[in-house]
Amino acid sequence: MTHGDLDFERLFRDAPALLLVLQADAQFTILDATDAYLRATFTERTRIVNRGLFDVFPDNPDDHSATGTRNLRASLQRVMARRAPDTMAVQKYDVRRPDSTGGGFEERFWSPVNSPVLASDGHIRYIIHRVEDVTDYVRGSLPEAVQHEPSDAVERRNQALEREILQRSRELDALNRNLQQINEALNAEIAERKRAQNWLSELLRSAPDGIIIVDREGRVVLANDQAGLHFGYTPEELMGQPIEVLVPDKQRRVHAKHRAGYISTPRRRNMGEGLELLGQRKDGSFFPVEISLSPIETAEGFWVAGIIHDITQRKQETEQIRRLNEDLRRHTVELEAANRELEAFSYSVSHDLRAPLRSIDGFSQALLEDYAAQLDQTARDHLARVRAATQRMGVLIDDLLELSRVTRSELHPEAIDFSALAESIADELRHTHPARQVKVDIEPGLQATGDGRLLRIALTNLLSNAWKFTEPRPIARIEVGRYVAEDGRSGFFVRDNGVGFNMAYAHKLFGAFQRLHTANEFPGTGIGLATVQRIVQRHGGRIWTEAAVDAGASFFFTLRSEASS
Amino acid sequence: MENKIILLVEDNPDDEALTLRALSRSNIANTVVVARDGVEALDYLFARGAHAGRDPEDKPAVTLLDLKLPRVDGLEVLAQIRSAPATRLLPVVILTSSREEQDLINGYRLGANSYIRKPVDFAQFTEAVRQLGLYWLVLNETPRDPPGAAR
Repeated sequence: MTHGDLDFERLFRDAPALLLVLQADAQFTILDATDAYLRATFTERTRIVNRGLFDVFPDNPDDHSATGTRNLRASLQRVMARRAPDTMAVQKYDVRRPDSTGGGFEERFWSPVNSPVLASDGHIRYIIHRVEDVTDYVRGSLPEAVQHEPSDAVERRNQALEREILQRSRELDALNRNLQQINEALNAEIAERKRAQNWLSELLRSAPDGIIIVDREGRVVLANDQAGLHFGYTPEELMGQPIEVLVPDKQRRVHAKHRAGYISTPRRRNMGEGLELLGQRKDGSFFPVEISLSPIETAEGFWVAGIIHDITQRKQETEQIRRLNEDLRRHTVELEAANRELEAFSYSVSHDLRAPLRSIDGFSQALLEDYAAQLDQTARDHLARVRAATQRMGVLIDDLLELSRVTRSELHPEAIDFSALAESIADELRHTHPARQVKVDIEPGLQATGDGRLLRIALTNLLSNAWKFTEPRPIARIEVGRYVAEDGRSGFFVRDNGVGFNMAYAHKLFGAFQRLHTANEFPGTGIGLATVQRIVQRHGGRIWTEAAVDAGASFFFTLRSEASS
Repeated sequence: MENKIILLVEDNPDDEALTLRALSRSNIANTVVVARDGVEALDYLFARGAHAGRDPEDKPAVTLLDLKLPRVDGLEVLAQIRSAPATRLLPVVILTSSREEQDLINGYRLGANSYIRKPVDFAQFTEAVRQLGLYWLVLNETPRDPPGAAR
């Protein structure tokens, strides 16, 4: 026999139960009923099917306290709302006798249950209303003795008992309602917790750090994806494993001992205050980890949650920083050594290189003086050239020494009266070259912050240059003043109306030994502007120039602490 | 000009010759004692070693001291001169090629009376020596019997 052969309609109608099938609509239209139900309610199928429930079964109009329809409707609505069965309290719900038996209502007590029939998509297809006729039970609960009392007394007692049963029933109903609400609240809370748990476990699973939880015995009870990735396992593979499989062989015993110690006095240990350990991957390779631990209290005692950072990269970076520092330290040492060497070299140059020059010059002069009679004009001219060359070399050595000194010496910044400094240098120049007529205009009130000695060297070089290159001018003019750039930074300038130079060569100007003029035109070593630039740079400033052939030259420079007037 | 002694402490024979030439060209005819290193200079001043038996009271009117010297260098010589009671007031002029700041500072700190850098140009050198001789041998007065010497 297969299901297909079952006559469900027959089975339903003959079922020994009082069942009513309702449409889940506003009227609760009756779709079918069992024969037992029809018998119990004095109805016929054809009379009730496709009619509204409360149309077929109205309240007893003579019973003004009747609440049957109201309670039933409320129960059915609850079924609709909750899509769950609803058990009602015992109801007094009188049924209409058929007119053939005299009409009117017959008193009945019912214990109804309403159940939804859900479609696969979850919506309510039908409601099954099942009732049990408990009239006899209600009646039968009257005590035996009472049944022998006079009938009016029995009737009164009967009524009292009925009221009591109904009252109790209603109380039960209310209690049931209450329970249902509590149940619903609990269900809602369970659902909420499930959601929260899902959320938490999702977070745990996808956390960017490795997380492993072990029980008291050190067995993994949880490992997230990242923990698996760190160690080359799937999280499932780690479950139930002793945590020591993730520790290098040699350290396993010690680790197990430490773990036991930790379990006996668990405390939170944050990242960074913990040990740096080695982790062992599934393939046996090691990697450095940093681990923070926190005890978790569970029903099975303390568990321990460990958060694991793979610090390979950090280690590498730290190592790189250490190496860079090492390099830097070595370079510093080398630089210091080079500086000391340079210092010794400068001293040597200053002292030893000048001594032979002095001999050459001195004995050439001695020749000229002591053997003047034996020397012809050519010999005297040769000796004069020897002397000129030695003296030029002397100046060269001095200039080089100055350049080196300017680079090496410590800066002692102070407030400088720049105008007065320029004024005093101009005075020196006038004194050394009394024949020259040079008009020097110095802007009054110029202030600077810098190393006084170095600034004097720089400004002396610039003014000497201006002095030198204005020589061919009948009216030589030199200007010293304050310069303010568009960005508000200010500096100084030294301007002359001398022979100037071609700007195409401006980039060569500040290199040592670079000269734009022959020594015949203008003497010089080509070190002066290199020295000036070195000084300006050591003050955190820069120097640049504007010039044109035969149209004078201007030198602009800034210092870190700008001039203010 | 009475015959005051000049002590020239100089290891470079060229510089020695040029200094002597500059002195003579400046008509300074004083006796010049040449010490060719620091030890020799100190031996002369304290009448010991090669100069034992010399009257130590016969002090030079001025000592021209080079800094870079074999064995004991110029600054050390200066330090010993200044720490000995007999010589601590002796006029000492540093006459050197060096223009290093450190040498200048150390020279004066140790009690040099003057610091002169030898110019490359012989004419300038002669002029420097002439002025030096004029000042220390003619113009400058030194105590005959330094108070410290009696101790």
